[in-house]
Amino acid sequence: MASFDRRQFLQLGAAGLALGSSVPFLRNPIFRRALQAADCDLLPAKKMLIIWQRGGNDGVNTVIPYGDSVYNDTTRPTLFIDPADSIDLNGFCSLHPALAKLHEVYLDNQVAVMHRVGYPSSSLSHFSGQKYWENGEPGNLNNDVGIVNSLIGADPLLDGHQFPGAAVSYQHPQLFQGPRVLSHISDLRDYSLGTDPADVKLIGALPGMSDDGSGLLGIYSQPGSSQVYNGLIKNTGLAMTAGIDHLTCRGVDANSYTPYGAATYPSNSAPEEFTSGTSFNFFRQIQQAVQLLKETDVRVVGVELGGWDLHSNQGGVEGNHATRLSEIAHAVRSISIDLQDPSRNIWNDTVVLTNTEFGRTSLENASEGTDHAKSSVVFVSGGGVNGGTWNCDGTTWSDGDLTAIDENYLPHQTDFRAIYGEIIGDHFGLGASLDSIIPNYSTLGLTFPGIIA
Amino acid sequence: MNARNSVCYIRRLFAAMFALWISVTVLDAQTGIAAGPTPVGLDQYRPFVRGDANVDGNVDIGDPVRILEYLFPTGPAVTLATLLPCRDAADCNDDDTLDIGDPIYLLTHLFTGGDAPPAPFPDCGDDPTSGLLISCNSYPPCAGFTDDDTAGHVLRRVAYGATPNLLDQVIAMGAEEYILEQLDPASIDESSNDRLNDLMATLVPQTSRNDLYRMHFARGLYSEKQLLEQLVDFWNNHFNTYYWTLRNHFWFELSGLYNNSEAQVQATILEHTESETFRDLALTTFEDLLVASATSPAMVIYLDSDNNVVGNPNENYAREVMELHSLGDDVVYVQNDIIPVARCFTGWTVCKKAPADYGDPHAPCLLDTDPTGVWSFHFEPGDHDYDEKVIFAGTPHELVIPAGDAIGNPEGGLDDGLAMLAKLASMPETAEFISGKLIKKFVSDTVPPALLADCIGSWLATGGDLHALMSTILLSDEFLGTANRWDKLETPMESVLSTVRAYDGTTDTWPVLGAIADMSHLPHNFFTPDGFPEVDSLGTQKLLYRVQFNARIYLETNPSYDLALLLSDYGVDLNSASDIVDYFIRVQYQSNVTTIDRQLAIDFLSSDESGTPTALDPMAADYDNRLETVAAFIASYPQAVQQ
Repeated sequence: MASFDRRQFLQLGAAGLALGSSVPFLRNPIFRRALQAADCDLLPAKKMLIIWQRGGNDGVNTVIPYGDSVYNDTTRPTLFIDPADSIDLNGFCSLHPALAKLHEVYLDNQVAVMHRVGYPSSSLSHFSGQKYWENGEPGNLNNDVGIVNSLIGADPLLDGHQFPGAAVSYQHPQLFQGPRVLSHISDLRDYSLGTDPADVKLIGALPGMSDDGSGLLGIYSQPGSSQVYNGLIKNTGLAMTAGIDHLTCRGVDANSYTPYGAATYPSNSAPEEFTSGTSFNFFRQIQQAVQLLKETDVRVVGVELGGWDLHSNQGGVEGNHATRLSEIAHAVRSISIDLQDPSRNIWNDTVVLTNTEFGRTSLENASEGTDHAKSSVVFVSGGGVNGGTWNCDGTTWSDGDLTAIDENYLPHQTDFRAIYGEIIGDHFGLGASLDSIIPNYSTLGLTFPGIIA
Repeated sequence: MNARNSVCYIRRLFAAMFALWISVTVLDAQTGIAAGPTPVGLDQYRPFVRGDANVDGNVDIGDPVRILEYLFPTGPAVTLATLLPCRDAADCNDDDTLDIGDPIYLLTHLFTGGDAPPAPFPDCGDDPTSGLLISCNSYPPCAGFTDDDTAGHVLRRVAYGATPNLLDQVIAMGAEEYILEQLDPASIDESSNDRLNDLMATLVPQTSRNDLYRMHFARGLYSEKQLLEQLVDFWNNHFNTYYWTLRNHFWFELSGLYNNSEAQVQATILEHTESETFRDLALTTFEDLLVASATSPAMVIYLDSDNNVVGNPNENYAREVMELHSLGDDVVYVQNDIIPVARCFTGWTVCKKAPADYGDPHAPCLLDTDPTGVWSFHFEPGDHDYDEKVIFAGTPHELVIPAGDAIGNPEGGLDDGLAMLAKLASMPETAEFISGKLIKKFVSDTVPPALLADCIGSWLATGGDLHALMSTILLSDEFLGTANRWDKLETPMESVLSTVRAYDGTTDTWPVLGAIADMSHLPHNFFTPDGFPEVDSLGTQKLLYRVQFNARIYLETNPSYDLALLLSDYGVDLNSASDIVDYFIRVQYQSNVTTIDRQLAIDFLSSDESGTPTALDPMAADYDNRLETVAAFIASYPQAVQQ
């Protein structure tokens, strides 16, 4: 449809500028991006990447407490993994063999392996469990503000910033939702505005001192009406254009990204060892999240991986669960390598955190799977993390703890909010704002587990 | 009253009013009481004619008289509701207050040629300027009248948005009549709906995954049974099964019986069959739907009923049938109920059967490898747990399913699960949960308690009859009134389809499929059993994908639009930017946009591609492109994501 191409348009723009262009043209977003490009140094900052394991990961077969006599081939006939086949951590606990690549990072003391993470009166519902992990307020289903949204809102450096946080996922996670609209990107390759003249006209310009702006920016920058959602939609539109401005300013090009060193992000068309179909584009989204961490100011990015709700056919050393775990391990190892890229080494400033809404029953069910349960495993990794194993040793673990609740559930030892609390306080330096990020934090009586060096 | 008498009467009236006006003002000054005009409280809003204070269908001398009777009562106290049942009609000058200015305004109009009352006048309509400060509790002369706003609202919720033709049709036939027709889809004859039928004839939704999605989009775009399609989407999502779990089942769990593409065909067959069953039962009873879901091979596989056997119950279906399908999260049931409920469903599984035996739980199974067989629901007596089950023990809902029904009597075993489903379908908590979810879909994210109570009443009185339930919801004041308009988000599917419908676009649905896939909102593609949330998270990229889909109007030829023809058909002046903009914003938003929104669109249409103001000229080479870009622009307003 375009009667002239982008280059011609930009040349015309430059000519217009030289001749003293009209004010409306100066406000054109394309022009604003050009202005910003000259002043586009990356802000130094602490960062975080969160990997959400949707569906409830079986912590017991992730970090295997073989020192508990309940873990055996009677309680888990098809799921049981012989200690000899797993990767020993401390003589009590071992990693699932599919986590070999994560173990490489662990050996550098850069992974905190945290067992028995949960919260009191843990929900067995996917819906409630996810909500509580994301709003940081177990028991309150009506709190729609995610921890990450509050975290970014509490950081004065990010006030008014164009691109402070981004979920790289198919659905916009509750974790990122709240009063401050953050970016939600399902595929960074599609995350741009057209640059043909009709596209530029459609997007238009923000209002100036004496006019209402033009195009969609003119519409979306007006105050929200009294209708529910009208303000949210307008803020979403503005966050979208602001984020794209930032990406354009930084020259982020998702089609030409080269991972550093041995980092790889297998694609569906070349799945390497990952053959199962439920992890669609997980590595593509991990790669895009890493690219955003390296090339933009973004503080927090999130990625999701489904396929953990293994009520049947879970598998042991091999199988569905092993495949999911190998994907996590591969991702963490590639992230750790890629973020040590000498051109942008931010590994020491970044925390990679895995979450899941609950663990699974310690006893295998009749379908060669496991059902919803209580506590599970969290991995925290990063150049500035205290590596080690938490809550899985003969000192803190009593024999039979695996089935201490209702003869089937493993109780929690560390509240997930304490992990977030330490990251917020000791990594991001926002400890003074903890209560505004995690509701009632100071009344919970939690102590930081000591994962941040 | 003849003309001469009325003039005399008017003079006297004016004089009396003036005297009262003075006295009231003086009185206020003396007492210091802030008298002033009284703002009128919140209440009902409905179409009316401004000026017709006595609601007799005519604007005449009787109206200022009635207002004066209210303002200056002389006789015994009469209630406001009796004197002015529609206060907004008495607000003749539309300043949102009832005072002496109103009769003066109307008298000036009636007898001295002053300005006519602001809209709605002289025809029925909603108050375009207010709706908040002053209300209209009763206005019988406009009963049955449907204005733009009401028609647009009904079409955004009951249908996948207005088409130019349908908006006028609903106004002409009346919103309630349209809803009644939609509630009886069998009465709608689509045999001559060529656009739909020709498109459907190109699809093979039974075996092609993409055609299954496209079937939903084709019907949503072009079927006249719009409510039915909305309900199919609702029930598919309520009883969610994830397509890729089924594909994985057939690909990975059947010992190499199917390769990937064959496994996809099998998964498509199950999803298509299930969806068409929901379509058949969408307006029957909830219990029918619940049983259809429980015995659907897609559900049996998705939630592991096929692994649920005596001695080793699988919790998956038992938990979700209560939490997600009937009672709601943690309502009535406790953890100790999960296992007994699971035991009721032991032996429920799938196997291949002869096509003639499809759905017969007792018909013999064929070998998995039998190419003549189809995957069907099956009850396997040997896998059923025949011991006693006690569910909701110790509560008023306690259900005891006695032991027995020997294996030789398979019907007995199958009855355990059916009894459990019947129990769930009959419980008031289920009535509340399902009604609330439907109210959230059709009426408001915040469930109005009175409407919920009506729905529960309807459910309990009719045994969960869904036609009665939907009638209760869609004919309620909460739905038809103005209180709950524009306050919900459109789903990606609603948003994309409504753009095509608003501009009467023609498409083979491939671009629709692409856009909705980009927005991760394809039917049968939510991976956890709770389904897509009704309040879909609106992310920046989903909004961007919507704008990008709208930009196809000027970028691509599919969907194809002939906007100049459309405008001509509706008599819009092709030279007038404001008339064109007004027409488009009427069809999509019933003109509910701000002055700035409207002006920016007129400016947009009155400028060339570089934004330089240039008059619109139907003869100019850029004319069609201008129409297409302004159409994309208007379709991308924030209101396009609201409903």
